[in-house]
Amino acid sequence: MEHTFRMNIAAPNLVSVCVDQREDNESSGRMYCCYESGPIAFKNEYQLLKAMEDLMERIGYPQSSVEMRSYSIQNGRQQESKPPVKEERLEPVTDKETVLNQRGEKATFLIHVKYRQSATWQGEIAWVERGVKQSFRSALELLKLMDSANE
Amino acid sequence: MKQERKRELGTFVVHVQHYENATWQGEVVWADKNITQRFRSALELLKLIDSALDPPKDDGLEVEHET
Repeated sequence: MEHTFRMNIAAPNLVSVCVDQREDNESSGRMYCCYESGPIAFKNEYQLLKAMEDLMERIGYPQSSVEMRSYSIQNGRQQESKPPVKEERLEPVTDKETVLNQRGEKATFLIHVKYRQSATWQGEIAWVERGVKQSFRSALELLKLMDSANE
Repeated sequence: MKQERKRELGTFVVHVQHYENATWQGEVVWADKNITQRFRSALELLKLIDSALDPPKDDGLEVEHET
């Protein structure tokens, strides 16, 4: 596989986002990472963000500088805004090459979230088919970059 | 073709007051409960709304789409 961009593919939270469909301004497809044996399906961008955040919370990388606010605690319910972190150490179950070799029907993105500051994410996203890479300063910017690939 | 959702799950009033760090900051009011929370990013705004709507046993994944 040819890379025309440089990316830290050794990052534990590197994900491959394979967009298979685009309908009503929503993308759906599969996400791959080394800590899941198979794809995690997403039906829209928010599900993708949740899946990525769940991964980063589980592996503890990168650590978030703040804890996200939630309505559920204010609501009187005692449920945690996020599930408790499991005690056991997560180990990779899929090798990196398998993750890197996945392709989406419409587009494939490699996303590396380097930091989680200011209650959002900062990192890099590579559009595999075009061999280009961009930095993002927020999850909002990440979504806009992915969206711009559809035009 | 996606069917229009008829259910009303919640009403939120969003005030976007700042644009810093390439994202939005402001306040969101959960109108049904009259609870206001500040958000520091668009991501936090989405998670706030999700936390208000998320039923206890659901993982938040919607499966309502019909074609």
